Amino acid sequence: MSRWFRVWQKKRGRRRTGSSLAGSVGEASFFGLLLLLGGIVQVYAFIRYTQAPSAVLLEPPVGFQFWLMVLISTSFLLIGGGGLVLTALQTGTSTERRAALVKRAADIDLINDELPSPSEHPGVPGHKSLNDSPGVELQYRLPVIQTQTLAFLATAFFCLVCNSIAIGLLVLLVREWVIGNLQIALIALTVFFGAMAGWSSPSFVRQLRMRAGIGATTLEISDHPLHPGNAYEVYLSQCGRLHLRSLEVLLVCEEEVTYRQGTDVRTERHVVVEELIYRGQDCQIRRDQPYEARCPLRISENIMHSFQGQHNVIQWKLMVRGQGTGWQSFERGFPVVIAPGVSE
Amino acid sequence: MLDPLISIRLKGQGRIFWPGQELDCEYQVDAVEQVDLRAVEASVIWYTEGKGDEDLGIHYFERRVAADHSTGDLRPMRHFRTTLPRTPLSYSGILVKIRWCVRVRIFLGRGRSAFFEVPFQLGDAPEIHDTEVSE
Repeated sequence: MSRWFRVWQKKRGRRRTGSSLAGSVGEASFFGLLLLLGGIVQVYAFIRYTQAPSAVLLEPPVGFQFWLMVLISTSFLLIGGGGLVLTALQTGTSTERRAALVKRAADIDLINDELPSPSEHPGVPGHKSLNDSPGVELQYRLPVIQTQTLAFLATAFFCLVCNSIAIGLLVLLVREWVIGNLQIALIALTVFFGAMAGWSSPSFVRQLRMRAGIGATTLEISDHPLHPGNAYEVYLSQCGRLHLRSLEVLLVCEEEVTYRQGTDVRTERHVVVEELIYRGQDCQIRRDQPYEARCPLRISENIMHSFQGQHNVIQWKLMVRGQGTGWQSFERGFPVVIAPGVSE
Repeated sequence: MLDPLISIRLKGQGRIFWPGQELDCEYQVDAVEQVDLRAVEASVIWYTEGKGDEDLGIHYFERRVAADHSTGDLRPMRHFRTTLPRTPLSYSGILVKIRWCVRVRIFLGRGRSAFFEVPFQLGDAPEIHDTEVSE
């Protein structure tokens, strides 16, 4: 705790450099003042209304101004009162006690007794949604992590906007040139947007060719969730029309954290384990004949399980990585859950 | 004025425990007046450390208040035991670390509080120092 009270101090996520007691007092004072202000404004509004010459059943001259004051003061009362109660509850309660109350509430399963108890494997994400699709070759078909669709849509939108503006400016420039009223600013703008269009178009075309040329990737697995020490079988099918130097299946573990930096929420990822389980070389994939492969997958005994917290995640996935020439390279992830065995 | 003294002792063969194993724990509060000690909370918790914001999960929790106690004295040795869960295992990664501990928090007069915790390891998940690539 700092020796002197500082007016300005850096806030690092939830960690503060100052005194938590001073922070709580400040927070309570703020909400208390808001509550007081709301009360004063509301009382003032009603006193003015009762003193009005024709104060009968809220009829005119009670108009927009009165209702606006009532609305604003009510919102102040609600925000101030709610904030004050929340601050009082948080100040008098430890983090552990709050967590215990939350856990107790979560353990009360009034809706469906058939649901598995969350306390069986606390912190391990559920796997029901991953087992929805039955496979053709093996028991389950794993869903793919859709990470590139948004990027493609964003690229397409950006490319479309840049090209539209560039074409519009070009038409305007030609018209101005014909009437002999050429402006430097218009030329500069046309060159700028032309450059942006020229820069974004190859990227869009590359992604379009990638999406059209690289077909669907299917990954099936013999059982799920995965348990340390067990062996499984994986089936890979790659559609499309391309030639790949190599096509790999990897077991990947990725740590993902989110943290607040000021008012921003940032996410960071780091791959901590990457284990090659299959590599096919010189793969020729044709429209009528997808590439198919089966490979064994053994989960090591000494391995960390999947973990899902509110801000911290340890995610396992099977990654299909194709390496070709130019646009013919891609990566697709298929999430899996690794959970400790239940028959211990 | 002396700071209150909180002592915690984990019974057993050290600080490594296995999922499903029983955790046997004793704790005691000293160097504080009986009337000044309002409440004591003992908990077995896991929490995350690292770059992300903290996540915290509670496995065992007890709160004792002086008013509820027959003698009103919360200082003597207190004993509890709990069966440890299967997950989450202790983990030391690059961005995420998962720690387990027994934490005892005391609440004193005039809104003061203090806590002490003893860490322990649950399971034997490997430590990650850098990306492990294997073929």
